[in-house]
Amino acid sequence: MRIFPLVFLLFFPLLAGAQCFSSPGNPIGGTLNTGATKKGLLRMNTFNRYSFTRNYYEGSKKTENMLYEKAHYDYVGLLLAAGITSRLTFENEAGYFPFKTVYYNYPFSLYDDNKTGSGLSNWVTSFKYLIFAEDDKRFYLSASAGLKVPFSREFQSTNNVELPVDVQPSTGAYGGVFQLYVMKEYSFTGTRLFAVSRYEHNGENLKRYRFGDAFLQSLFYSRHLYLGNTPFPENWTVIMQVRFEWRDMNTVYLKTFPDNEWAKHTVTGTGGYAILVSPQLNYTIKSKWNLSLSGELPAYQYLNQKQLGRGWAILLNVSTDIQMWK
Amino acid sequence: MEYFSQNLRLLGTMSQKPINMKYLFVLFLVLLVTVSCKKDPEPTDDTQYVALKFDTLYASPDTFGIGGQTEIKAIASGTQLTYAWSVSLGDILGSGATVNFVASPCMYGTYQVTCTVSDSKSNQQQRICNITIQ
Repeated sequence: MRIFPLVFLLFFPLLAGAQCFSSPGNPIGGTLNTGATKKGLLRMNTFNRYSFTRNYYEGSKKTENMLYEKAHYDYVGLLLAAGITSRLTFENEAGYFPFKTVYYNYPFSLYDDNKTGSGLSNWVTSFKYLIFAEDDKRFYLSASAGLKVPFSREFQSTNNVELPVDVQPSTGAYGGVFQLYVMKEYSFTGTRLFAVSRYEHNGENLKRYRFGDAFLQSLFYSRHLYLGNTPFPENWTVIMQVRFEWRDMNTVYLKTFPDNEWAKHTVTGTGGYAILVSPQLNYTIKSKWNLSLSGELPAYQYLNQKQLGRGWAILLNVSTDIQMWK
Repeated sequence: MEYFSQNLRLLGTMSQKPINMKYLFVLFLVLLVTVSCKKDPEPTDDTQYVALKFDTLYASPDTFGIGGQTEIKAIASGTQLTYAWSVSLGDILGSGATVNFVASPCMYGTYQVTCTVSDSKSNQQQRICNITIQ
């Protein structure tokens, strides 16, 4: 039973998968943490996510590559959650991109082979409230609301040339994150079902560019592994996640010519939806430390006009709980 | 084995040789000269300074189709000029006085490329160039 609260938080890095190259900022899911944290408990969670993509999509079909030949990034996230009361949890999340790189196709590669951004992404601070908890039936419902703050509003440049929006580490804009968590446990079978709904609203950055709002719906199924004669049979858990993601088109205000007035434009080559599958394997050490490894693949994606699509990703996660006060 | 032991003996005799302080001194001098010869940026005195003048910024062509590209040139005069580039949307490739602007596959409309030229006295001038993608 002691494993349960620790395993819950392992769901969160699975959702750290909504980052694509048309939406810089934190890979979504950084603030995700199942249910409310117990009073006085400090939950620490760090993860590393590597993502790679090289295929363009027009609608749901692969198409010939355009500007970019391929793109990849690495993201390190840190989440701290503290249980203020038995129902209220305070969460903070920060993230850092060691690199975020696009590689250009020929003939663009004659001028620049690639462009790389790196640095702190966004900081998300939120409050989560346990709305409903029925311990007998092991059914829980929580909701959270948070504020997304960019670490920097300036745009990164290399060689005095501003990097494209796709490799900027931060959105450069404030935003809001709203989430709903529903969880049902089955103690006898060691399984649980879990659903997370997440809505993200993004504001305008200093260039008057706004990333489209996003909605994510994740469904999880987890089960303890009982492997018989293995040394630590009860310490392994498998989780399968299926996630639906929708993103609205980005917008930008541009000055009209020759009137020199601001006019709103929709960046039509952005936004779309995808269904992703993410299997995960967890290992618990002394009911205190959790290690997990997961992969992610798009099962289906539909992108507006032509865009660099979603590729594969791999995540490594380490987490622990510390009782700070009673 | 014989060859190996011969080499060992040779190494032993070499290590016993006293180090000549003269060589060390020459080595020190060479290092000193190498380090001190590092070229500093040339000072700009007022007699050499040419006032910054950013004449024009233009794209050729300034109108093209979706997914295309164009060359943008900044014509400026002054002392030790640096060129900084930014764009409302899209990619700027290359650096310096001439760069290439590349539109995203589905980007259309009029976009603005900004070039800021700075000189050795940190004076700055800025020009904006409109590029239309049809």
